[in-house]
Amino acid sequence: MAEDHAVVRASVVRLLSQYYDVVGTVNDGQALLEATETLEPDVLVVDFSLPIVSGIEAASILKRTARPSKIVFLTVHNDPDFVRAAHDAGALGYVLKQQMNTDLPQAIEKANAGEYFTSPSVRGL
Amino acid sequence: MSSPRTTNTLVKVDFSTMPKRASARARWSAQSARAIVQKPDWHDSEKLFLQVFNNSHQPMSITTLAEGRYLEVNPTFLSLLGYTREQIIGRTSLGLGIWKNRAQRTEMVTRLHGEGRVRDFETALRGANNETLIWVSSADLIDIEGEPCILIISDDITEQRRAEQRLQNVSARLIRAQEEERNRIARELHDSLNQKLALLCVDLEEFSRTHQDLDVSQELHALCLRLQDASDDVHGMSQQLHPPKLDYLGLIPALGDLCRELSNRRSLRINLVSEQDESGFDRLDKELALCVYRVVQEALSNVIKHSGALAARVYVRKRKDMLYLLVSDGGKGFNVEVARLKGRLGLISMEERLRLANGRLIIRSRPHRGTQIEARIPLQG
Repeated sequence: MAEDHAVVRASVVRLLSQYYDVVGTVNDGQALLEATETLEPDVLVVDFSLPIVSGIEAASILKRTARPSKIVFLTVHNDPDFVRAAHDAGALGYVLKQQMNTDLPQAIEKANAGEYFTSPSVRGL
Repeated sequence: MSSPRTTNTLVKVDFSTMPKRASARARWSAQSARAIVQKPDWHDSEKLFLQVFNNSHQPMSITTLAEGRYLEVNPTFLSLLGYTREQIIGRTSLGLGIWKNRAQRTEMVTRLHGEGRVRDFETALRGANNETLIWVSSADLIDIEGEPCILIISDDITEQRRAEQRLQNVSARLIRAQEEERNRIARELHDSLNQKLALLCVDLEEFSRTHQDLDVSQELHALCLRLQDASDDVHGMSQQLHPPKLDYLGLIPALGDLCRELSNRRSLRINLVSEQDESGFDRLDKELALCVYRVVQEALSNVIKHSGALAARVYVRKRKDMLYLLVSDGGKGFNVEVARLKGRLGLISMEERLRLANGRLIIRSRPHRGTQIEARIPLQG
């Protein structure tokens, strides 16, 4: 799980721990790339705007690796351009932070099964 | 002055028509000096000429045309360049290394051969202490005892150039500081405030879900919707200050948003067209992308405020070595010179931003003929 905002990170970890084993949390995109290589998680939950390497850049890099990761973006950007960019970067899920309680577990399940999920309240898709 | 009649005549010619601009003064001085030198009444004229020559605040020199050997220089010339008379007279300007760019002397001599005189010729000179001086010179071919010579009268604009440079540095710093500040506030709004609002929303929804009382639950849901609305406002404000798309998705999606947003808010149809080669917009430098974005923003804001046009077009083309931008409308247009003189901030800020990116701005507009704002920015690699 990659998120640079400490309060959000704690909140997401609290939510996810109810359903999953959270194997690692990182604050920036560079750390995300390193942790993905060592921890080999089933699903990555990634914020769009991370320091050093942004979430979207990190996703594009991971897409080109031998074992592409299953990525769910968790973001406040309610914007179809961001959703398209996320899909182009190989992400399966796109969840708005405001709806994470209901949407994030669904998105993770779908991503784990190789399916797409986008928060229904994303406008203009 | 041995002859009062001659003196009177010269005084009348000299000062009644004294031009105001410094370069014009240099021009006039060169002409009058030549006139004096060529006067048949050599003795009186020579005295007067020497008086002008020695007392002038403008640096003056007489050199041979062929080699640039100094025959005579005035005290202002010596003090500005930091040489003594003995170090200069009889030696050549190239030998002393006074021309920073030797080709400039060749160019001056060529033009003198062609036209007999040179006006407003800007040169970079090297002083005795290796300092750089910028002079704007007028040069005339004169004949001294059968030898073709050059009389050069200059204005020292070194200090003016330095002041201009300082001013440009200040405006560059101002633009940078403004962008940094906008970016900081945008991030603060987006990354901190908006995240907190999002979390509030999440907690409120959770509370509403677990609450048994239907009325309270509905009330909580309504509160959550209002919170989301506030969150959208914060997002919008942050976006206006510094568009996140520019950083994460690149120039074209950010411009697309800008055009869409302005089209929706105003009665203006904006058509965005972009063209790119295989290098793409993706790898465009972020500062450069921001520069183009701000220029488009400023240009479109002018279209909305002043043109009265119903449609505008934004065209961006990226080639390997050049980024080309054109914002055009078919509106009222304006007089470019008047707008420039009025120091309309939009134009200045666009020009400054482009100058920082080594680009240039061309504004084409005429009353009732629409406006075209064109920018060209060179790209490395």
